[in-house]
Amino acid sequence: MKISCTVNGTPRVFHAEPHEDVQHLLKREGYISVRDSDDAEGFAGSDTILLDGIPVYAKLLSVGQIQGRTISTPESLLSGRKLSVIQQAMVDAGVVQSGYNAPAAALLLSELLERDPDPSEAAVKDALSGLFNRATGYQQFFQAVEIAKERMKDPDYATEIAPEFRDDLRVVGKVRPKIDGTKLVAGWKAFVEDMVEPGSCTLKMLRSPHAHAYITDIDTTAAQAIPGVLAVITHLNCPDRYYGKAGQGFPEPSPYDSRMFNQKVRHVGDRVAAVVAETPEIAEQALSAIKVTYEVLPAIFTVDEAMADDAPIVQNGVVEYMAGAPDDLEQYNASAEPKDGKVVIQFPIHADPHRNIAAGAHGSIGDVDQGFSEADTVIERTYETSQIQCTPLETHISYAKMDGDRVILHASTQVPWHLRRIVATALGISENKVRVIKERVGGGYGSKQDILLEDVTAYASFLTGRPVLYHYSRKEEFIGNSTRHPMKITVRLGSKKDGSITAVYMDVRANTGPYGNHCLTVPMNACSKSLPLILCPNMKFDVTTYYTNIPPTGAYQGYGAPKGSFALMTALGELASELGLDLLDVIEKNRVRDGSLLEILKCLGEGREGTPAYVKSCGLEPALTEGANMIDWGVKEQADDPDVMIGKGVAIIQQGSGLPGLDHSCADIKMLADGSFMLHSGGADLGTGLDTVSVKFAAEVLCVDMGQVSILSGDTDNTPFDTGAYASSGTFFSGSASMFAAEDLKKEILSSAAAILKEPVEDLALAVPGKVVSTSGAELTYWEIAQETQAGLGRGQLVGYASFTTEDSAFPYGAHFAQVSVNRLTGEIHVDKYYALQDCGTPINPELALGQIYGGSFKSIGHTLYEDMMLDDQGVCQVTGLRDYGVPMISELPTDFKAVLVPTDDPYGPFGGKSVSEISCNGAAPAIANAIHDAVGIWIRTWPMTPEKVLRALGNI
Amino acid sequence: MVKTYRPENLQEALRIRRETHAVPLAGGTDLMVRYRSWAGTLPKFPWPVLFINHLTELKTMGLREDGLHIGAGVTLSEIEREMEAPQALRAAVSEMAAPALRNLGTLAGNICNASPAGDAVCVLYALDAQVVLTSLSGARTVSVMDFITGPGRKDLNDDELMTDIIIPHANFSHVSYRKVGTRKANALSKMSFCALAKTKLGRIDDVRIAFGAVGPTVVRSWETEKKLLGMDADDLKDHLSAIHDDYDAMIHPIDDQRSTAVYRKQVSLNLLDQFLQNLVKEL
Ligand SMILES: Cc1cc2nc3c(=O)[nH]c(=O)nc-3n(C[C@H](O)[C@H](O)[C@H](O)COP(=O)(O)OP(=O)(O)OC[C@H]3O[C@@H](n4cnc5c(N)ncnc54)[C@H](O)[C@@H]3O)c2cc1C
Ligand code: FES
Repeated sequence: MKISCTVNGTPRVFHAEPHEDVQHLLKREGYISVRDSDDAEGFAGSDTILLDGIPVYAKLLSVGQIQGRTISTPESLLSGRKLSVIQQAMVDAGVVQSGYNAPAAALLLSELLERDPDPSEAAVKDALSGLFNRATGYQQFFQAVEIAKERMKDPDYATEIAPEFRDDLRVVGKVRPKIDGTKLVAGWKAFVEDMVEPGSCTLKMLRSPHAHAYITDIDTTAAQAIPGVLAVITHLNCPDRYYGKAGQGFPEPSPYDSRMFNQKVRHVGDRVAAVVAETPEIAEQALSAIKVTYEVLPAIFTVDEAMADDAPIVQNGVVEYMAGAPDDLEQYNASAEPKDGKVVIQFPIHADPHRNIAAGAHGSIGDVDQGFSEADTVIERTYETSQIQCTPLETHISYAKMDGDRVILHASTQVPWHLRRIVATALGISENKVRVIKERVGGGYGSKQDILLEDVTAYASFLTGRPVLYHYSRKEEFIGNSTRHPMKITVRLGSKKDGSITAVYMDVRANTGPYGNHCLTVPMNACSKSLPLILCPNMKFDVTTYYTNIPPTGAYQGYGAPKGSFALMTALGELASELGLDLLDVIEKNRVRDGSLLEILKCLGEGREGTPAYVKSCGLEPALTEGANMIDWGVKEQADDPDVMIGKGVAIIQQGSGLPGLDHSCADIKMLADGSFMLHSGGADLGTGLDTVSVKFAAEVLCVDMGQVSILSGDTDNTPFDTGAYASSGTFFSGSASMFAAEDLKKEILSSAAAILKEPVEDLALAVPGKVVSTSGAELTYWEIAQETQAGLGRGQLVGYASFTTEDSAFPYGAHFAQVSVNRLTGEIHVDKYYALQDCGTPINPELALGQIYGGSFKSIGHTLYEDMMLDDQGVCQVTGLRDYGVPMISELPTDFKAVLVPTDDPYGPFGGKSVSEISCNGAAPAIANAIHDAVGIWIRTWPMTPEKVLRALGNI
Repeated sequence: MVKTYRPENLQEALRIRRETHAVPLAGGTDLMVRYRSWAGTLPKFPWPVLFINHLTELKTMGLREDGLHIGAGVTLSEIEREMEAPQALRAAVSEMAAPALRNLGTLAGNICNASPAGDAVCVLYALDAQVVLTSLSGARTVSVMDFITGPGRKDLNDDELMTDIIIPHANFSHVSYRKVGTRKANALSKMSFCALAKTKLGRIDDVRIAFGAVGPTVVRSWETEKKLLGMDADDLKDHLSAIHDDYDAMIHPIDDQRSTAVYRKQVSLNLLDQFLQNLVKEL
């Protein structure tokens, strides 16, 4: 049908299917900022447009409803390349990070400001109440509106957006717009989906309806016969190779326990067959034409079921070791079932797959038995965390095409180099035949470390020679994605009457699901990022990870730490209440501090020998003092409503900054002919502002404005190696590489200048704005140096390079305080106050750091209170959309929410910086659990802490 | 290929409805989601679709003799802003979804969904609301409770359109509306509760109590409400537990993703008790 309407001021006539939705129409007509991120559920708001000036969801609008009407898309906000006032304010406030929904947010706020130039906080909340923003949460939107409001009156309006740090530095520690902020908020081409060329094929996946079954027969003939179907890939014709999909450094501490497709399916949603077709419709049709016969096996879903003597075995294949095979391996394999395939273990990780054990770790310091016997009080409590979905706005996506015999992958990934290695391994080709280009990442949070779809997309293109797009639906995101490992953690604490802890024991039983991605390291991390918060000479831990048939697990922001912190910090609260002591006093008595030696870390290497480490900087003292002040710790609050009780809680938290001894980052930087710079970083900015960090470091070292340094990152052809953006390594590793590359170039610049000026290099220094000055008074601009070095007889283009590895650790710390109201009639929990005080060393990008803290804290408030991937007794995930799953939206914001940067100067961090993002996820669960207890005297030891659980614990149901 | 109709006026819409039985699509916020495709392909409607949200005849809202008339094409946002609309209805509507959805969705669509979790419906039950169903042969008026016959089921003939919703005049001194959801915006209710009362000279003059999402349809009991009429504070105090038991016997929720039956029931009764206790104090 023909539709006439006006889009962004231009009268347009569109030809559309009568049942086409308006988002689909606009997107294919080139209005690429109008996206859909929730399978047309009407929840996430990525498809917001204005219809006759009023916000509506384009995806819920049928083309039949727009005849003669006026549409504005986020594209309408720009004038030329210039951002609108609210767009610029959003970038300045630091709320645009992964940015997938930033254009929609800008459109909504712009409409609000037009209606009401002085909107209240409630009006902002209402305007954004249908917009999902996972990366930074929502808090900074209020600030963006404040800035925009003032700038609409006075374009030169300036305000303190965030505190600034390090007076001795020009750009590091200062508020500067994120370098890709403009592009993201404007809605320009940035994400993988924006790179797809016309004529590309679609890949769609047939997924298992059973939690545990053998495929006894699979008939693809009918599917293959459909015109437009290019390939159907199954376990019968896929490459016969086992490879790790965890996206970790090689050799991985995760077993290789799957091929591209397997004869055994191990969870509802497991891969069965991939169809590559000319169009999505044909691919859909082909999926339904594939006939599969299953032999359904009994399935297990919990750690307790996996531990049972007669439990079905999830990975009953032949076990192989690449190193360190046990002597009795042959005997062990006698019971193996060939249809289960293989489990290839890279080095010993205490695995026992035939007893459903994927990995284990055990260690201790001191003498815990002695410690418990010396205790006046011993408590033992068990905590359970649930399976949590990362829910990036941009669902997983991969676009592969061939360039001659090379595979080019446009990827939304945290690990371009591991991805290249894994794809090359899967396809059986060498790494030089694969190029990975990391595009902007619309949210990752760990789930884009795991290789979930790139292997099969690359293979599909390799097989057919055609460009192939595979874009997860939101539903696939719930059933075919990596998630937080559910854990059951028992904590035993021994303590003297005065609260000094004499012994700590932690028993972690983790559920890795069908495959062993991160099966050793996530659960170990539950110990390694919580135990060192407490100084106690006697500590012991046991970690065991089990295979089950739940949807897959993997990395998620915070890694194991949110689970370990929840258990340990809530147990500390329980101990304090048992002893009749104040929790903050108990924390103070036992906590880590500046200069502490963390001996327990010697038992907590990632599958290797660990090293004890000294704490070189720790901001816990100011964080705890300031936080206690902010929340009036110790003062009991009274609600107006007699049915509402108020309580306060606290938790201390930590993380690492990358993996010393394992991570490795490289960068190079070149001087261009006019004296400006091109930086090539291996780092994979997943929206957190890593590219901005790298540019700041280079600009700081080279004494130029940030505008003089451009960056290309995460492109395996054009930038040097980097292990990737995980384990909080960005600033510390990739950032250090950029800093040292700039230092290296600085040496080159000085020595060239010395040669040109014929002066000793010791007399020369770099100076702002990009020149070399001599003690003699002579000066050379970078332009002059570049001209000279790049002229016919010059010494050639000046290049700096750095490869950064280290054994040194820099631990970020934090204290999170929560105040909650609990309604005794309904069990509803409301977070009234949430204060996240964090020490990230020198905050390199203060406003972006605050955004990360808001985002991480708010995510984990969601994990604590709402989010739940409920499975039924057949292992079918009952929630396949964001709405039922329960991600928190702006309406759920704590009434008073503050992120506070507590600076320290870390000697190992670049410019004193440490990591900031992952740690933000570690505090909410224990702080809220402690606050609920303070309010109504109950302990809720499982996630999510629902109203039902509250009423049950109160004895009301 | 699905056929779609975009009539010029109500008359034409009714004619198309009679001839084709095409399914009306007002805001589409329910239909577009229900018939969405999961795969990035287009929505798939199993029947012809009749667009009605542009029809001006359905867009009027205003007070008449028999009450407030809300046209079937009036959006939820418009009701939210309508000062003449009852407070409980405005509250319920403003807590539904998000503005971009309320700007499209209609009250008629919410009623025609006949979802036990429909937030506005619980309030409309309490308000004794009526709906006008029109076909080429004429119009009939039925109460909302008679219109909704079960979950997803309604008394709508295949040549009819809902054209109007009528909310009879009434004044209440006590208004309580609670939507209990895990989260606020965009969350489907675990349960909803609407209680309205008017007192006169220390006695209950009018009272309506409705519970949403705790049974196949909204729960409301005229019998129990009748018992309450005329009670003063002491009577009510004496009858609190009897009234509680009445509703206890009536409320039969189910377990689903959003909540459990025991929780729904307990919270319903807790909110009821609280409402009645407050009434005792204020009588
Ligand atoms: C993200 C999201 C959140 C939501 N939140 C809530 C919520 O909080 N509370 C709630 O109650 N609902 C909620 N809904 C459901 C829905 O939006 C509402 O029920 C809305 O009022 C439906 O109105 P509509 O005009 O869009 O209906 P449509 O989708 O157009 O139609 C719905 C049904 O009504 C019929 N119909 C519509 N108009 C007429 C008419 N005039 N005559 C006869 N039949 C008609 C249609 O044929 C269809 O069967 C939500 C939906 C989404 C997607
Ligand atoms: S329908 Fe709005 S993002 Fe999908």
